[in-house]
Amino acid sequence: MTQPLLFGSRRTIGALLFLTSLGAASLARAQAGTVSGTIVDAKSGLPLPDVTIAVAGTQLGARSGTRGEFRLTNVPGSTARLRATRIGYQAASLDARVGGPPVRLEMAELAIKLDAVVVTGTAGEVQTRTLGNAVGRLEVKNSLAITGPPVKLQDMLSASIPGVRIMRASGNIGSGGTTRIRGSGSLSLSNEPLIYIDGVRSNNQANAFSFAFNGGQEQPSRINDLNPEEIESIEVLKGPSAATIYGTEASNGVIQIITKRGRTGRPTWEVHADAGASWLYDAANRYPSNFYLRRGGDYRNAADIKEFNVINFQKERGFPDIFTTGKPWGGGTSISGGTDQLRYYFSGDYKREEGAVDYNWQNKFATRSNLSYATNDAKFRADISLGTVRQRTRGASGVQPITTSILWACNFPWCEPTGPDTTKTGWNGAGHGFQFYRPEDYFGVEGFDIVDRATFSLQLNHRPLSWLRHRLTVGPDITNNKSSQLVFRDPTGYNPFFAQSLGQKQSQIFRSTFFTTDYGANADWNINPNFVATTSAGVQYYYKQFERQVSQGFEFPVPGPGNVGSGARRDALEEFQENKTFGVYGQEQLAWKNRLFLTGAMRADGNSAFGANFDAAYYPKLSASWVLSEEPFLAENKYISQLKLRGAWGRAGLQPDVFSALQTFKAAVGPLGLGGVTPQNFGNPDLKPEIGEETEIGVDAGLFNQRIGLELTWYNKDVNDAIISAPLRPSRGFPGVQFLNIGKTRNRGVELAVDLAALNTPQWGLDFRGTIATNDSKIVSLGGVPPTFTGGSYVQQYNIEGFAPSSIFYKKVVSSTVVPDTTLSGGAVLFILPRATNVMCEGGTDLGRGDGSVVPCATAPRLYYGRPTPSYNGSFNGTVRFGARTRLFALVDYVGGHHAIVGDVGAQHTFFRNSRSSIAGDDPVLQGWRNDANGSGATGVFDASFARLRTVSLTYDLPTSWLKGASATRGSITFAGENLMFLWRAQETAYGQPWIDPELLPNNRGDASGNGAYTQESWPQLMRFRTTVRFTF
Amino acid sequence: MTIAMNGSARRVVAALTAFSFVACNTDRILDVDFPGQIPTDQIGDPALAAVLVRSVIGDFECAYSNYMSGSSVHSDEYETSNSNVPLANWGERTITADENDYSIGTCEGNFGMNLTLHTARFQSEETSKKLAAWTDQQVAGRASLQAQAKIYGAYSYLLMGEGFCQVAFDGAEVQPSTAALTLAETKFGEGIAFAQAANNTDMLMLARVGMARTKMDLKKWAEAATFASQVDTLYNKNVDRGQESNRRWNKLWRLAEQTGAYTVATAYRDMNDPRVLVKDAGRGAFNSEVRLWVTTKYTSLVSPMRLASGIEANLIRAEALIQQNQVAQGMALLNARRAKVGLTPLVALTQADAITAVIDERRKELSFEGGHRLNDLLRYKITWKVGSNPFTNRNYGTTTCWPHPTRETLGV
Repeated sequence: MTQPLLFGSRRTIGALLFLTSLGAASLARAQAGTVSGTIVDAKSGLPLPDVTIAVAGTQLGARSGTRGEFRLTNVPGSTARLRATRIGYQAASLDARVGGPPVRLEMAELAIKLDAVVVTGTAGEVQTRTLGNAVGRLEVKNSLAITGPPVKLQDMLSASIPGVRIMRASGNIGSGGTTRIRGSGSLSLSNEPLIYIDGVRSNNQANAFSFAFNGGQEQPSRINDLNPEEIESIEVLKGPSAATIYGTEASNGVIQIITKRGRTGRPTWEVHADAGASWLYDAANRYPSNFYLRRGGDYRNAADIKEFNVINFQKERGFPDIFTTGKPWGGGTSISGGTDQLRYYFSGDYKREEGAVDYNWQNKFATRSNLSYATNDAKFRADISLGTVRQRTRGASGVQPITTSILWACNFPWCEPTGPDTTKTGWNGAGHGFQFYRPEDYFGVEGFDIVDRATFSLQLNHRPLSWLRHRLTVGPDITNNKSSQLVFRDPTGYNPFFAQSLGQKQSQIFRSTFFTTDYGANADWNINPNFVATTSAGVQYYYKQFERQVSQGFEFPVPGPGNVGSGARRDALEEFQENKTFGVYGQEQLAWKNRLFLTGAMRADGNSAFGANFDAAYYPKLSASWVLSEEPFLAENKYISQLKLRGAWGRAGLQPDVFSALQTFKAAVGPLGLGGVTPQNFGNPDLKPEIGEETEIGVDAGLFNQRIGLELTWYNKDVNDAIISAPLRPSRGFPGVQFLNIGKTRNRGVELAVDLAALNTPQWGLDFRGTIATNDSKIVSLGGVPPTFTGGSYVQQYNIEGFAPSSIFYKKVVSSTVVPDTTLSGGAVLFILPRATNVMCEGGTDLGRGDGSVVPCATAPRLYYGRPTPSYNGSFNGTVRFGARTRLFALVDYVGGHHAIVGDVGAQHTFFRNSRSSIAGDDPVLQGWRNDANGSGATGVFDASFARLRTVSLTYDLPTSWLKGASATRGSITFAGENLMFLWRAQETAYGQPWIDPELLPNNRGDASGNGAYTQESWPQLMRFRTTVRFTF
Repeated sequence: MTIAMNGSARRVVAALTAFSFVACNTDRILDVDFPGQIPTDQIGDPALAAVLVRSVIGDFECAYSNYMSGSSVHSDEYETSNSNVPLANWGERTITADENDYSIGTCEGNFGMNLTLHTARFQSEETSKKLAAWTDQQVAGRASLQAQAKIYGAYSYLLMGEGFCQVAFDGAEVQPSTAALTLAETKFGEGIAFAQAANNTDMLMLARVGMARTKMDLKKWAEAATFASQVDTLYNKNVDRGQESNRRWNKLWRLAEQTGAYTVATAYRDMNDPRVLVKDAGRGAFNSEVRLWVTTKYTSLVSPMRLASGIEANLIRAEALIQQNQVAQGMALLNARRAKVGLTPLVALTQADAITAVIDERRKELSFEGGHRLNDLLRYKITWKVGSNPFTNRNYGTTTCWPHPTRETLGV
C-alpha cells in the first residue's frame, strides 16, 4: 500500500510529479524499487497501524495499515533509510534493501506519552500534556499478546497501574475481588471506583451476591463479566482531583474501558485460541495436617499426639482424589475494517474456565459489535458500541467449600478410627476422616450463576465550527443475573450440610439497569497565537435501578433434587431500588504555547439519595501542567527528553445508600400470620454526600533519550463529611446503623513507576518496569462518635481516630501458666490436656497501643494489631526479547502492610482444637488465648504481606514463511504460567499452623466498605498454565 | 473578542440553555420509587390502629421467642453441642457485650434479644402514643387496643429487668435493670386499667400475671401475692408461633432440636418428674459425637410458647407467701399443684427449705420456658455451670446476666 505522505492536495502531488520528472534520469540510474515490511511494537510484537514511514532524503512516505504493513514503491537507490514515527512511540530507523524481502521494524513505546489522548469526561479530546493529574493506562491488547488471556479481567488490572490494586481474589472460578485506588476513603460506603464502558456508566458491583457462592466469602465482581479480548485500553482516573467533573459517585476514581473499533482498510480477521490446565498444587502439603490426642493420652507424652492428614488419608484408603485438574480453553475471532466513513468491528469469544474441582466451571460467550460513521468532512462522527455477555457459572462454594472440611477434619477429641457415633465420626465411619461434608457430598449440591448482560453506547460527536465541539452519549448497561443453590435432600440421613441436607432450593433473580445521558461541549478560543482558552460545559443524568427477587423452598419431602415448590417451607423476597443523579459542570482551561496549562472546573449535582434537607453538592477543581522539557532552556538537554510537572486539587463525591436518609418501617408477619410493620431504618434527613478532596503533585519524565521513564506522584486524599455508619444503640428500637456525615478520613501516599529500556538491538531487547504505591490511611475524625465496632463474632475490628479504617484490635496475651487438665469418663482418664492459668496480657491504652506493661488479661486493653488494607503494593516485570520473534516475560507483584484474621487457622487452634500446638501445650500464649472468647480470631491473625511470581510467559512470533500457507499475516504462540510461587511471605504460620494463601481474603456483600479482615472458607489461587495462539488474516 | 455565531452554534447554545432549564427543575427529575419501604409518616393513620397493635404483638412475640430460648440455653437447662460461633457461645456462657448476635441479632437470626426486646418496647411506646392521641370515634375498640399495646410493652420491660445486667432506653443513660422493672410495673398498671375499661379478660389476666412477676422480681412480696391470687388457675397465654417466616419460629425447637446445636443438660434427663418433658432424640447433635436430648414441650417450628399461666401465678404466690414467712400456706399451694400431676407432697420445715423447694418446683414446672430459670439463677445467685462443657471440652465463660451491649455504649 503506497500512500502519499504529507501530500493532501492535488497541488502538492503535481509538484511532486514535476520534481519526479526533473529527476527522471537519476531515478533511472538508481533502479527505483520497492520496500515493504511490517511495523511492530517492540515489547508485545503486535503490529502497529497508523505509523508514518518516511524514506530519508526523499519525500516518499507511507502509513502502515491495520496489520502494521506498509509498502513503498519507486524508492531510489539500493538501500533506503526508513524512519518511522507514531504518537506514543520513539521514532525508529532502519536501513532496508530496495527490492529486498519485507523488513520488520520494531518501535518502542515512549515512557512518557505527552500527546496521548485520554478520556477525562469533557467533550473534546484531551492530551495528557494538559492534565494536572496522573492517568493510569493499560493497553489491554498488548498485555494479552504478552501473557495470554487472564481468568478474569481484574487479573490484568492488579499489577499494571501504580495505586490500583485488586484485593481479595480467590481461586473459585467465577468469584471476583475488590478494586482499590489510593486506598479506602469511605468508612461506610463502597470504595469501588466508577466504571464506564465506551462512555456509559456501568455496573461496578464488586461483591454481587450470588447463591452460587453463598457458602463462601467470595462473590462475583461485575467487571469480570467483560471480555478482555474486545477491550482496546483501560484508563484510570485515580481520585477526586482527576474525576471532579464526574461528580457524585466519583470519589473513588473512575475506570474507563474503551473497546476496540475498526480502522480504515480491508477486512482484518483476528483469530485466537487457548487451552491449558489449572490446579491446586501440592494440596496435601499446603493444607496443614491436623492433630489429635489419642484417647487416654497425656499431652506431655509426644507419642500420644497423632498427626492426621485427611488428603493423604483419602489417597491411602483409595477414595477418589479430592481435587481435579481444570482444563480451561477458549477461542474467538474478530473482523474489523471499513472506509473513512464507515468502520466496523465485530467479535465473538467463547471461554471455558475450570477450577480445582470438577463442579467449578464457567462458560462465557461474549460478542461485540462496534460501528463508527463519519461524514466526509469529518465534522460529525457517530460511534455505536454493543457488547453482550452470556455467562453460566457453577460455583465451588454454593454451600461451604470442601476446603473448609479439609481444614477442620479430625476435630478434637474424636479423631480416631472409631468415634462414639459410628455413623459419622472416626476414620472408619461414614465420614471417612471428615468432620462434616465429604467430597462426594457435592454431587448433591448445585450452585449456578447465570449472567445475561448487554451494554450499549451511542456517542455523537459534532464539530460544527472549527472552535466548537460537542458530544452526546447515551446508553444503558443492563445485567440480568440469576443465581441458585440447590441442596438435594440426603437419602442416607447423614445430612452432611446439616439442615440444608433436608433439601433446599434458593433462587435469586437480580436485574440491574444503569442508564447514562451525557452531553458536553467544548469551545476553543485562540486569544493569540500563544494563548488558547478552552471552555467546556456539560450536563449529565445518570439512572440506576436494582430489582431483586428471591424465592426459597426448604425441606423437600423426598430424597434427591427439588425446586422451590418442593419445599415444605417457602418464602420470597422482593426489593427495588433506584437512584438518580443530575449534574452540570463547567470548565475553563488556559494553554500557553501548548506547554503550560491551567484548568479550573466546577460541578454541581443533585442525587435522589440525599436527605430531604440537603439540595445539591458542589465540586470544584484546579489543576496545572507544565511541559518543562519544551521550554527553550531545556529543549536541547541531552539527558532530559521529556519533563512535565503537574499538580491538581479537586473534589468529587460519594452519595449515600439509596434509603439511608429515610426513616422507614417494613412489612412483617405478626400473630396468627397476619401482617404488621416493624422498624427498618432509622434514617437521617440531613444526609449528604461524602466529599472526597484530593491534592496531587507529580512529575513525568523521559530520561536519556527515553530509555528511562519515570512517573512520580504524591497525593493526599481526604474524605470530608465522611459518612459514619454509626452503630445505632439497640435501645432505639431500630436495627442497623444511622448514617451521619461526621467523619473525616485521609489517604496519603506516593506512586512511582519506572520504565527502563535497557537494551533494544535487533538481536536483543530488555525492558523493565517497576511500580510502587504507598498508602498511609487513617481516620482523622469520627465526629465525636466513640470508636465504632466494625467486626463480628471474635472479629475485633474498629474504626478509631488515628488508625486506618477497620483496624484490628485484640488483647495481647504475653504469658500463661500451662497446667494439666484431666477429663474423666466413667472414672477413667479420657484425656490429659493443657490448660492455661494465670493468663497475662500487655497493658496500655484500650483500643490503642501497648506500653509494655503486663496486666491480667481479664482487665487488659485491646491493642492495635494491624490494618486490613495494604500500605504498599506494586509490581516488577521484565521482558527479554531474543532476536525479533521471541519474548520472555516475568511479572512479580507484591502487596503488604496489611493483616487478615484467618478463621480457618483460628478455629483449628480453638474450636476444633486440631492444631498441634493447641494439644501439645508448648505455647503458653496460644493456651492463654484458648481461655478468651476472641481467641478464635486472635490466634488466626496474620501479616498478609507477600510477593508472588505472578506470571511467566514465553511468546514466539511465527515466521512469515510458516504463515503463508494459511494466508495469515501474523501468528504467535504464547506459553504462560500464572501464580507460580511465592517469593516472599511476611508470615506463613500462626502458632505453627499455616495459612494456605495470603491472597485469600473475603469479598462478601455484607461488607459494604470492603474493609473486612476476616477470611474463612475460600479457595486459594490456582496455578495455571495456558497456551495461546493468535493469527491475523 | 467577539465571536459570531452561525446556525449550528446557535443550535448548540439553545440546547445548552434547554438543558440548563431542565437542570433548574431537578426536584422531579430526582424523584424515585421505593416500593416495599414504608416511610414513618405512612403509619400515622388511625385506620391502621389494629395493624399497629398487631405489630406490637408481633415484635414482642419474636423477641420473646429469642429471649426465652436464648436464656434457656444460657442457663443450666442446656449444653452446647455445636462448634460454630456465635451459636456455640450461647450455651457456654461466652456471650459478651461485644457479641452482635446477642446485641443486634434480629428476629430472623439466632437468639438476638437485646435489639428485639427494645424494638418491641419501642413499638409499644409509639403505638400507645398514637392511640392516646386518637379518639374513640377514629378507632373502634380503642381501650382494648391500648391494653394490648401497654401489656405487651410491659412484658418487654419485665424481661429486660429480669435478664439484663443494665438497661438504657431510647439511647439515654445506662440504668440499673430495676429501672426496667419499675417501668414494667407502671405499664402493667396502665394495661390493667385499659383492660378493665375494655372488659378484656384475657388481657387482664395476662397483665396480672405480668404484674405479679414484676412485683416478685422487685421483692414486693405482698403485692406479688395479691396480683397472683387474682389470676384464674386455668389461665394460659401462649405466644403464637408459625412458619410463615423465621421471625415466627419457635427458636428453641429450631436451634436445639432441628439444628441440634444444644442438647438438654444431663441434670434434666432423669428428674423423674412428668413436668420435665425430655427425651433422647435418638441421634447425634450438630456435633454428631454428642448425643442429642430434647424437650418434648415443643415439637415443631410452630409449637406455641407459654407466656403466662395460672400455674406460674400459683408459683409466684407460693414464693411470695414463703418469703413473707407464710411457709405452710406457700407449701400448700405447691403441693396442691404436685398432687394434680401425681407427685408426692413436699415437706419444708424452714423458710429456707421452702424457698429451695419453690425454686426447684419452678425449675421443673417452668422448665425450658419463659426465661424463668435464668431469672431464678440470678435472683437467688444459684451456682452457674463452671469449668468446661463436657461435650465440647471448651471452657465456660463468665456471663451471668445478659451484658449491657458495647454497641449501646458506643453507638448513637
